[in-house]
Amino acid sequence: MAEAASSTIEKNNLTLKSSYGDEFVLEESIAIQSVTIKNMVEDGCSSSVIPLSKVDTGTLIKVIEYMKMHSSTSSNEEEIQNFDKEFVRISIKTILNILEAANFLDIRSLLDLCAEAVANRIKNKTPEVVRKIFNITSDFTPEEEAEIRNETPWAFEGDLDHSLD
Amino acid sequence: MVEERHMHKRLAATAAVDVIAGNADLLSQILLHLPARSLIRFSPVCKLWFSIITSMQFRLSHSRTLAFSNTLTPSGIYFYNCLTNLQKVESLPLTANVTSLPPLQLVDHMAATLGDTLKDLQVKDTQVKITQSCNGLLMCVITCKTGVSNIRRGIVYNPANKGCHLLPTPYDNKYSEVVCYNLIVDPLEPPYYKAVRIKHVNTYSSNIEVSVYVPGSESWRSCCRFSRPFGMHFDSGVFWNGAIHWIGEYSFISFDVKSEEIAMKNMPARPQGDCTQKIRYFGEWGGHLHLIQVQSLHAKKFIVLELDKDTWRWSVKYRVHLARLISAFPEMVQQTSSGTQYAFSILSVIRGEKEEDSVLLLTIPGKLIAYNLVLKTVEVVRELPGEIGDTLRFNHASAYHYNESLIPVKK
Repeated sequence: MAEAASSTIEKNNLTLKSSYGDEFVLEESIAIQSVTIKNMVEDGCSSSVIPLSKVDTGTLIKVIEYMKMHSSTSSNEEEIQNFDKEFVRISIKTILNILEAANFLDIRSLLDLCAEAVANRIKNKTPEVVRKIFNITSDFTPEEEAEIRNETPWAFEGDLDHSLD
Repeated sequence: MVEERHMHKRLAATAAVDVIAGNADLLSQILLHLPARSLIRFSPVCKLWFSIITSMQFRLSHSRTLAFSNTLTPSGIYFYNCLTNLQKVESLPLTANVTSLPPLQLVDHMAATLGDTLKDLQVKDTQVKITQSCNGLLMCVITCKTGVSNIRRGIVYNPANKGCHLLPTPYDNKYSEVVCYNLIVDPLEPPYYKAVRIKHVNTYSSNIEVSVYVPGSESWRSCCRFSRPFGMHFDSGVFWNGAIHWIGEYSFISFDVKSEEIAMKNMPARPQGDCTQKIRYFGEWGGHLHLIQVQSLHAKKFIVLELDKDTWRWSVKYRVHLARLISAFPEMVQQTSSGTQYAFSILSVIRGEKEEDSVLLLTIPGKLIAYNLVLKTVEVVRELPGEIGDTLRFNHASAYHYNESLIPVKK
């Protein structure tokens, strides 16, 4: 009897461990928005702590914040929309961290939110700035690049955004 | 321990960006949300980005995503200033950060090529004109004038990636006049677009035939025939609410894309007045279908009608009185042999996100102006050099709003 009760409690809570070793206790019903975690629970790997070696503490805090809001039954659609809007008012680098975590944890709606937010932030930027943001070194020769640009000069005109964030 | 944690942090931080930058699937997730214009600008970022952006699979998924987000404001319009020169296509960006639209030179090039291949027929003059814009694709019609006939061929053209597809010849055995070419673009399912053509059944018949061409097929497929009503303007087909619509002075004809059937309805009541051609504008903006008819060539006021999707009734959306406009721009007043007339050509009824941002885009002698339909204010958008012709010519379809798209035109 006592055993059954304690296992129910354990079932209801999960402990997520960030790559820094910080632990967060979360209700299972909230955590299983992550398909990755859900699969782990179903496979019976949830008895102990779930190590998320690819997610750092700051990112995990944001992901948990998101999952809590999106599983809350008390918030209406408008509140969720406003939450999402505010949620991505952070640096592009941080959004990219969350995006990668959302991909690893398999949280589709969070992945979409981050992808759209990154797109919105970079849409008016120059290719040079985009390279810096994504840490990319171009593998085109200057001639090849010039050729691509010359095909569609109109796409490179206008008041473009040179900022890194 | 502290140091180790710090190291860990740095590794994790660089990893996220690098993982995404090296993961084509994740990158595609981000890129799918970008406008086509940005994607074209980002294609030289690196070879991986280039290969994603130019892949057929991505282009199709992107066009589908674009089709769902129909709140997008067009990048701009291509237009003809029918007060001056009907031949020259101009472009006007309408969105911040856009300074120019893709040029349309390739279409001219195609026209020249086609003109050459028809040398045997002694082509005297070749013209190319946009007749419709739909989801990032333009329908262009090349008219080659020979001594005895007008050979009209349709080209589906994507200005953003210069994709160009010359539609099969409409002349199988014998010549009969092509009335129009139109386009329906549906990126949600293959074949992604359909071309529609109306042609006279034979030279001496008033019966016309609607045919459809689907990319990948060899030729046109006949759908239906009907008798051409009097006063139809087939040069102004507009895609709206799942059908192409053409108007005339008395009739309104729709071709439903799914059923491939024609429906004929009456036009709303014609304003009383002494001119025969009363239609001065017919076009769509953001899901709204608008129509403007005038009483006469010296009319100063008119109403903008909108068609209701469900009831199919036209209702008055805006009332326009040009008196203030005319006093601000006296060059609009033209003395002609038939008396005083007002020179203005309506390019577009633009519905703003907020009602008070809705404007009427007009060309007047020397200028392109925006008249606010709610606040009744006017703004000069840009100068438009060019002599006004002796007789005022009007066209009810002379502007085509456009949004860049990566949609392929050829299979």
